[in-house]
Amino acid sequence: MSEDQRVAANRSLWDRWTAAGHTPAFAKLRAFESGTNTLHPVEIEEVGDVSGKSLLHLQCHFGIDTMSWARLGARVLGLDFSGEAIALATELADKHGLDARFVASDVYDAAETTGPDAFDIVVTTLGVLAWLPDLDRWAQVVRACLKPGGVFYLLEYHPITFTFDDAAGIAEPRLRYPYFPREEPIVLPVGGDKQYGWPFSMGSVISAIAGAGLDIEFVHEFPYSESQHVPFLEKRGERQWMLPSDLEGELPLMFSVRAVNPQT
Amino acid sequence: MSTEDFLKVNRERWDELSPLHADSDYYDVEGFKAGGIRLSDYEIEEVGDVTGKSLLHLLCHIGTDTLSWARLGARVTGADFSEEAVAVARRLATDVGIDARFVASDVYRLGDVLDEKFDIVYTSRGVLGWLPDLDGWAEVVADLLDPGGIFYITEIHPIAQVFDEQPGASQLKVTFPYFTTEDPVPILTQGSYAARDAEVKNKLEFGWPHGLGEVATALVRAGLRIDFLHEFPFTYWDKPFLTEVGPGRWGMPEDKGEMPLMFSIKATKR
Repeated sequence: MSEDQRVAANRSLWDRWTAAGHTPAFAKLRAFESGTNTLHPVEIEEVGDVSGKSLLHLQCHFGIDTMSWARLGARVLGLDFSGEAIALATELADKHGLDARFVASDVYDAAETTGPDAFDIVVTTLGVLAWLPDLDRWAQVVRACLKPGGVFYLLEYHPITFTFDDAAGIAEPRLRYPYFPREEPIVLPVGGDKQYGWPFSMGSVISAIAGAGLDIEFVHEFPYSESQHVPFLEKRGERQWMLPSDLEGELPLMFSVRAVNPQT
Repeated sequence: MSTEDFLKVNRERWDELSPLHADSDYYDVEGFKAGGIRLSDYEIEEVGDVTGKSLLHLLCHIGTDTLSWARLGARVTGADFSEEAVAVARRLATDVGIDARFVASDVYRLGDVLDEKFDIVYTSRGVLGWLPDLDGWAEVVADLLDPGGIFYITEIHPIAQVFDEQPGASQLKVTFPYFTTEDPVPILTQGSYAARDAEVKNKLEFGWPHGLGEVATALVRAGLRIDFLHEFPFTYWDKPFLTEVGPGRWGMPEDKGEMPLMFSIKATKR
């Protein structure tokens, strides 16, 4: 099976999940529609003031976070490979009178789709990297979309959390899945279908961003996740999930990277 | 206890360990004297050609790695807070006839001790845990580099440090902190990693945990540009949940999953 076929299989899953309302983002839809900003406080703080800035949201799903950036004053474009997700995003933007544009595109074609050097800010968050077969190429695309001086911001679940057994009933972190990137994806059964995921490591992400020529400003790691993205996490606060309290130690559960496209 | 007190306890332990390590199989000083290079292939490749370059080795212990860089062509300076370690290193340099400088100094005061800037600042394997303040450390690194100079670190991965190390623990248990703590973690050790059976008087040491993000961010804040971050599936210390995967290297047993066990960062001074 070729890489394109695997990405196409994933796209068709996302089309169907979106049509059926079966993704975690749908849990936030009602709050979004009643005016709540769905962004996590940490990303709002770390991206900084977006008012009047052009912002590209990569892998935006059906756009409620994208439109939350618009509510904060950014001129936004959301991009996702799922046509269903983009159709829903466009419908929501119309319904709520938000100035947000959406486009269906593979992330690797983003610079061709949007035109080069177009954005002050490129953002991508939470559950995005495992869908990408090639991080080096992804980081080059990010840079190509940024104006000189533009800012890239990534917030993502920590790769170490994806190595742990995610079966229901497992009460603490137990290694199961690979950590290091590999050519062959992990194949997970989903209903009667298959989902393809590519492991990413901290090293592969950071080196891809630096290797594309972006200047890293910070790498932050967090002792909490914004959701129960692996089953053994316990809720400790609003959008704050942590390791079980009987474990004395800590693990990073989320991380963020901010990087700048150099001026020259 | 103050930070100074913690560092004093650590320094006394390292003063006692240094002569023991000079006689240990782990450091294989005889092998080094016979011409050995005590560096890993990957770090030699990642640092790149050192011929004719000035290289400062921070937390150099007894200098075997420092002098290995000299054998590869660098003009080397080694720095360590233990007078005893530096004494061993100086003797070793004399024995093998390598022109190298070793200074005994707390890493945070190195800027006052050294009046030169370096092409390369290098530090490796068991160094970050002895540092109470990463930002201050990164500033020293940046201050001692020439513009365009490179910093290179290879170190045990902080994720590998959070799991229970009780012998016989069959399941990995998250027991230790990952992020920097105000007060260090006290550790009582029989012997040392390099001299397990040695009768050591100073059994107590204090280690500060530091997350990977904190390390990278401290370097950037001090004015370095991150060139890469690499992670490796092996380490140089045995742990109860690891198995020997090569000479002096330990990794996860097959079928027990993967985790990053070493990392390296290369960064350039702007």
